[in-house]
Amino acid sequence: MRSSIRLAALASLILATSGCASAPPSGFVSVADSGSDLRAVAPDDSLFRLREFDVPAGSDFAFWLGALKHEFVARRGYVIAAERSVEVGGAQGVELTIETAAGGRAGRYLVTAWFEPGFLGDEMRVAEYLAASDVFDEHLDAVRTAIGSARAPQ
Amino acid sequence: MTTALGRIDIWPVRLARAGALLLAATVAGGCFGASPTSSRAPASEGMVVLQATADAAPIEAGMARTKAPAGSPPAEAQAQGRMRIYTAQLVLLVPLVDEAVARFVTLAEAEGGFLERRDGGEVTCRVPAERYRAVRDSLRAFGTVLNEAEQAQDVTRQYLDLEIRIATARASRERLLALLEKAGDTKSLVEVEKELRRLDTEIEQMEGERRYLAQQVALATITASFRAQAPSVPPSQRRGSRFPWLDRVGPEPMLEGF
Repeated sequence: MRSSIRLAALASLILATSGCASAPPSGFVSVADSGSDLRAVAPDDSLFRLREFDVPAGSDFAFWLGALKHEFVARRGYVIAAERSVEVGGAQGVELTIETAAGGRAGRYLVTAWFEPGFLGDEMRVAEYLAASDVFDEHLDAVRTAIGSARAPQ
Repeated sequence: MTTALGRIDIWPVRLARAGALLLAATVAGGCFGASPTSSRAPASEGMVVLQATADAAPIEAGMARTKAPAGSPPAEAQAQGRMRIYTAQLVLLVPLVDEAVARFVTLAEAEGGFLERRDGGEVTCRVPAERYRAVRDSLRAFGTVLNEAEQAQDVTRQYLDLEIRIATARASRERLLALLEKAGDTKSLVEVEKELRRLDTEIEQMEGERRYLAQQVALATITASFRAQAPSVPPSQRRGSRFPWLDRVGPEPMLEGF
């Protein structure tokens, strides 16, 4: 009986700590949702994606913030147009914005990343939003709201 | 007997009085060059009426073309009877410079303005003063503003001084013309004509200056320096990150993932 309770508790814990468990931003429709990878599209072709990545143990948010910025700035040549600290479900995170011509059109890309240490391993959760420059602001509040409501670390 | 030129010598005193009256009348009226009155000086001394200027009309026409939003600087200035020259300079980080340049020019033209100068990614457009703020705000949304500066130069006094000087010079000219008809000897005739020529040149210069000021006031100047977002290195030319998950985030991987 005790082992059954333990197994049930473990199963609940695993379920509770896995998956993004988030809804797409208002105005977007989910086109794929595997539990750890949510993809959504708006009528104007704006894109939203929320994912989680396993990261090596022993790291922390500062480490991954440095790695993320190094990736964008030093390795890819982007300029960080805006950076602000955010808190997602109590976890410390960062929001970076860059201008981009990806796909051959003028656009803006926003990435919000936060670190979640877990019982079964640490994770980085990453929300991305890509939209044409002229419509970027229209979805911004909805995107931030969706990210803010992403499930808190368990 | 007072010679023709001798009489001219006392005019500055009378005209100064006329100028003072004119200044008071104009300030009380709260507008400049707007009075649709004759350009001829009246017969009685001490009274000079502002000339109705064809070049002042565009200022009013320009301001009336589009209703300025309440509270915008040009609207406030207009309401206060002030004349201000608005200029703004913005430095913006944009993904595609050529596209941003084209958008800015299109925006300015749609608001009744025009392209004044382009040098690479630096573009200067003139827009009606009352649309200045709207255009500047729209421009901000083109990309990330790296730097911004603006100036509002008040030229009310300068414009008013010019109006007075022009009116005074015109009154002098009328007097000289009257004297020309009365001039009895050749010497006086030559001197009056010489003075007339000098006055004509002076009036033309002042009118040119006034037209320039009016145009500067009617059309604000916005200069945008568009700077390209550093070109991103294509994923195919990039070695993988030591942390594989980082290779999977960013604008290009995102597009590929949809």
